[in-house]
Formats: sequence, C-alpha cells, structure tokens
Amino acid sequence: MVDAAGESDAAELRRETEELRALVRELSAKLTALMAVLPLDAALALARGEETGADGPFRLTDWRETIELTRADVAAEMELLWKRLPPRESA
Amino acid sequence: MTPRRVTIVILCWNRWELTKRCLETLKAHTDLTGADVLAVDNGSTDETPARLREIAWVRVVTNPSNLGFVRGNNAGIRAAAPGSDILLLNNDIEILQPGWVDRLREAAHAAVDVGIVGCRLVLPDGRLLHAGTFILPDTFWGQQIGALETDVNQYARTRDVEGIVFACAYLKRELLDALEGLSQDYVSYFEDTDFCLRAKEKGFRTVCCGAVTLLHREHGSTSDAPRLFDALFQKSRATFRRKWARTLQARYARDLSWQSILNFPTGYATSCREILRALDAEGVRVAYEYVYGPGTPFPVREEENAGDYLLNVVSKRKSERRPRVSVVYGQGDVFSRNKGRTRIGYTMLEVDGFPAEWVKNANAMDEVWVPSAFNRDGFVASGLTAPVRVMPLGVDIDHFHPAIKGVPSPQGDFVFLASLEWGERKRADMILKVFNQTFRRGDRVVLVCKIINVNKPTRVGGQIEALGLSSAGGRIAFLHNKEFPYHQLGALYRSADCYVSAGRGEGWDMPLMEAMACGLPAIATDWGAHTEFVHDAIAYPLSSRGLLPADARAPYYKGFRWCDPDPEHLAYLMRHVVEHRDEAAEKGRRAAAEMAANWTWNHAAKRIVARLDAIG
Repeated sequence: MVDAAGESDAAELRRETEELRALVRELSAKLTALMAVLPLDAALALARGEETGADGPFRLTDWRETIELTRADVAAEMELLWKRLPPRESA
Repeated sequence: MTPRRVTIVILCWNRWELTKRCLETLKAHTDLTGADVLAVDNGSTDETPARLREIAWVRVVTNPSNLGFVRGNNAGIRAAAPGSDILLLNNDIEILQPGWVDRLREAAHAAVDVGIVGCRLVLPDGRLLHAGTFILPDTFWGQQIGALETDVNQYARTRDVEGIVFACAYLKRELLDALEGLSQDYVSYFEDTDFCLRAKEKGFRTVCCGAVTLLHREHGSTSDAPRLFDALFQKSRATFRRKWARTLQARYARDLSWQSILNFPTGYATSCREILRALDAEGVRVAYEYVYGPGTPFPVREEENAGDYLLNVVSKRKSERRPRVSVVYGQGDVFSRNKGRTRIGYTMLEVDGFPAEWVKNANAMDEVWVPSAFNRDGFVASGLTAPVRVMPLGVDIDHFHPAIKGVPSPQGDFVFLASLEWGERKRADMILKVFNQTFRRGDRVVLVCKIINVNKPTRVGGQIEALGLSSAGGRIAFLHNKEFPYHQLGALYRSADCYVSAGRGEGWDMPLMEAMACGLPAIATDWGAHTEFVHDAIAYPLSSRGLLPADARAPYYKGFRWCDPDPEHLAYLMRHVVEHRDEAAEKGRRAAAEMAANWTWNHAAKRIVARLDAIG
C-alpha cells in the first residue's frame, strides 16, 4: 500500500527524472555537435575533461614526425589544410 | 581595321561522335561573324558525310578516300575563302572558352613576323598536354612542352616556340602564300614541325598563345591501329631527319660541359635543371655530368632518370675527356673536380665569407661565378684572388606568374606563407612566434608554414610545441615534409597573400623569387644574396639588428657571420601588410613585372652565354 502523499512524491520524482534525462540528452547532443567541429586534439582533451580554453597552449594536430618526404599535389593538400584549420573564434 | 577573316578547317575521318562534339562546342563558344567553318571529310564511311550535310553553317569538302592528315588538310586550305587566314582544327578538339578565335587571331597579327599560332591543349583529366613543341637533333623525337603536368595555368603568356602540334594551328595568310600547304613528304606526323621550320626559314615565328586553352581528346586517327601508327611515324621521322638534321644541329652555336647535380631535392639541383633548359634554348649544347658521388662531400650516386626528356638527353651526351670549357656548379669543395681546359667554378653561400678550402679551390679556377654581389664581396674578403663575376640566377615565369591557379582560403582569410627548411638559418621559430603573438585566433589571418626536415635527430613537432605558442594567438597550419612537383609550386604561392622569408642569410632564395614572380608581396630579410633582386618598391625589406656568429650544423658557416632579423620589425610588417592590403597587392604586381622583365632563366642564360663569348 502506498498512501496518496507517497504517490504524489513518486510522481514528482519521475517527472524530475524525466526532466533531467531530457537535459542530459540535450547537453549530450550539444556536446556531440561541438566535438564534431573541434580540432581532434581539442575534442580529445574535452573528452578527457582537460582544459580546452582558447588561451590554452598551442597543440599540433595531424602531425606525424618523419624525415621522409611525401609526394603530394598542391591543390589536394591545400584543400585538406583548409579543412583542418582550427576555426576562427572571437578570442 | 576589320579583323581578317579566318577559315576554320576541320579534318574528319569517321568517329562522327568526336566531330559532333567538336562542332557543338565550336558553335557554343565561337562568334562566327568573322569566320567560316569548313569540314573536310576525308572519305568517311560512317554517318559523318550525311550528318555534315545537315549543318547549314558548315561548308563541306569531300575527299573520295582517306588522303591522310597532310593532304586532307591541304584540301581544306585550298578550298578556304581567298585571302583568309586558316585555323586548322582536329575533330577531337573541344572548345572551352569564348573569344578563342579572336585571341589566336590577335596573337597572329601582333607582329608581322608571326606566322603560326598554337595554344594550350589539355586532356579531359585536367592535365596539360601541350604548350608548344621542341625537337632535339640527338633523337629527332618531338616533345610537347608541359605534357602531362597538372594544369595550374602554366604557360599562360604568348611565347615563341620551336613548333606546335597542328591539332589547333592558326596560320596567317602571308605565310601560306609563302609556303603553300603542309609538306606532302609526310602522310601524318612531323608535318607540323616541318611546317614550323619551313616558316622559320621564310622569316616567320611560331608562337603558343597561352590565353587559349582547348580540350584535346587526342584520339588520333591511328590510335586504334598501333602498327599503322608505328609505320607512319617511323617513315615520317626518317624523312624529317633527312630534311632537317643539319638545320637542327646548327641551332647550337657552342658546346659546354656542365658538372653539377640534377636529381635531388636541393636548391643547386633545382636551379641546375632550369639553367640547363635555358642554356639549350640559348643555343648551347650542354653535356651534363654529376659532380658529386663517392669521394666527395656528398657521396651518394645520382639516379640516371631526371624525369624530363631534355634533361635526360643532356645527361646522356658525352663530353670530351678535357672539354674546352667546363663549369662546376655546386659547393666550392668540388671545384677541384672541374675537368675543363678553361675551368669555371659557380657557387654561393649564405654567410659573409667562404671556407678556406673553397677559397683555395676557387683560386685554382680560371674564373669564379657567384649569383650576387653579397657573395662576391664575401669571397674576396675571404682571400679570393681569381677573377670573380656576379652571374645571377633566375625564375621560370611560365610556372611562376600571377595567373597561376591557387587554392586560396575558402573563408577569405588573409594568408601568409613561409616555405622553409627547419633549422637555425631560416628562423621558423621567430616567424611562428611573431605571427602567433601579433594576431589573435579571431583575426581573419592565417600563417601556412611549409616545413622540410630530413635531419633525423630533429623532432620538429616537439620543437614547435616547445615554442610556447598560444591557441588564442594567430592560427597556423603546417605542411610538413610534403614534396610538391616543381611545376605545381606556383599554385602553393598563389594560395597565399604574402610570402615571408625571414632567414638569417641566403645564397639566393629561389622560393622567395618564385613567390614574387607569382605576384605576392614579400617580407624578406634585408641582408644576403637576395638583396640582389629585393627592394622596397616591390617588397617589404625586414631590418636586421646586426650580425651574429653563424652557429649552425653546416660546417661551411664556421667562423662567419649572418644577420639577426628583427622580430619587432617582422611583427610590424605583418600587421602593416594585413592593414594595407591594396598597397601590398600593388607591390606584388610590381614584383611580378620586375621578375618577368629582368630575372628569368633566359636572362641568366644570356648572361652565361655572353660571358662564354667573352672568354672565347
């Protein structure tokens, strides 16, 4: 047996739970969208809960330490470079 | 004055789908008020004759059978409107741009001695196929200039060439009156080069009009019949050799032995390739020989294939054991390998003096060449007593010019470009820090830094991160150890708005000159060999805070000095260029004009020839 007050509390808790779940879903969607546009290193740092502020240290992305030269076409490399460029932000 | 009428002669033999496409694109892109279109059906057995008769704006001449390329086109020339110029067009050509006939006609009538005008031809996959032709007397195998290079709009100006392919050939009436038609010594192949050489004998030039680009499907009438092709080609080649061997050999006024480096990604090798091409064009029969290898400071053997027809021929020529004149173009410590009776050493260095061994070797030369007064003075101060001449290098204005197609920032950001080898001399650290501190991440400005590092112990990425750059500062993008084909490099420069060369010293700085030839305003250290061609009317000279000991890995620098570029001035200039874009662009335009007017490889080769003439 559950009394009326108890039922009311349970309903309130269920409502709050649903609200919180909706909030989590919304935040999660926003986070996913944000990570999709972030450079890889920033996205990984965000996932790790590290500092990702605009005034953090400069980190190289897509860097492969090598002394080998890779033959490449200018147009293809420049198009790739523009895609990888960190987005401009108001600092 | 009314432009002269032109008859466009299109030779057809079967393959109606090609002819149809040719005519459709011609109709779509051509103002025919000053032109007639004449199709010569060379005895087609498919639907071609019937289809041609249905097109009211095309006049048709019918040959009873396939007379071949030469006689077929001659039939068209004879049937053309009297007094008109002739434009021969293959039926596997597609027209890509309006105004093409007018441009060809303007090029033909720009001077009385122009007789033949060709154009750029591209393949359907976007590669260049033709920007003129040449043929060497060593092999008698015609070569198409620019063939199979990625098309970045190279060879965009109108320039003299030895020949053109007659897939598109504008022939002026005055020349046709002097020569009549194509030589019937040939059925197909070599008739075009033959015609251009005959024109030259009559005092007419052949030019390639770079403002016109047509698509060539290159589906020759013999491309499906390799045996027929081979038979026709070899027969024509033998005929051509018989007729022109003496003439082609006579194009060389002198012989020269050139000992250097060709097939490595170094500045000497890159410039060597250009010098050899330019000397050939100036009538010097060069025999090239690799000067490095075992027993030298660079003991690596050189690959035989230069990836370039002319350079391969030049490399295979045998020079005498003791040639009359030999130039060693490389570091001063290989001058001793000069095998000429008259010995010339041609070198450069990035600091204010030359090592004692180089000076000793140089003093054993009959003459020493350096590209700059900077190096001449440094050599003399180091004890050079042999005669020394300033012989500047040059730039290829067909691959480095303002109309090369780049890939600019899609966001419209202002782009600085630095292209450098990682190390002490080029001051990449300073460029990165100054840029990062001068601008903010929110600014519409980017630095693209192309870095080459082949030194194994150096961890470039770690060194960049150790610079303490800020992610809130100016945005930087890297191209790390990317080796771009040389013919595409203009596209890299044209993807930027300003070039930065802030090194401590230069022996010449070819990338800087290439960027300036592409019309980029440049910020360049005001010290070193490149001050030969950089000044403040066409660039932004970067101040130095003085001279420093040249501490670096290169052993040749020991005991000498280089300069200390001023980072505060670099910051000021970068900011200034961004804030005064019109002024900067104007400097870039002037730079390109000055490079084209005074600093091409042809200028460099002419100076070499003049000096060889003086030596006797």
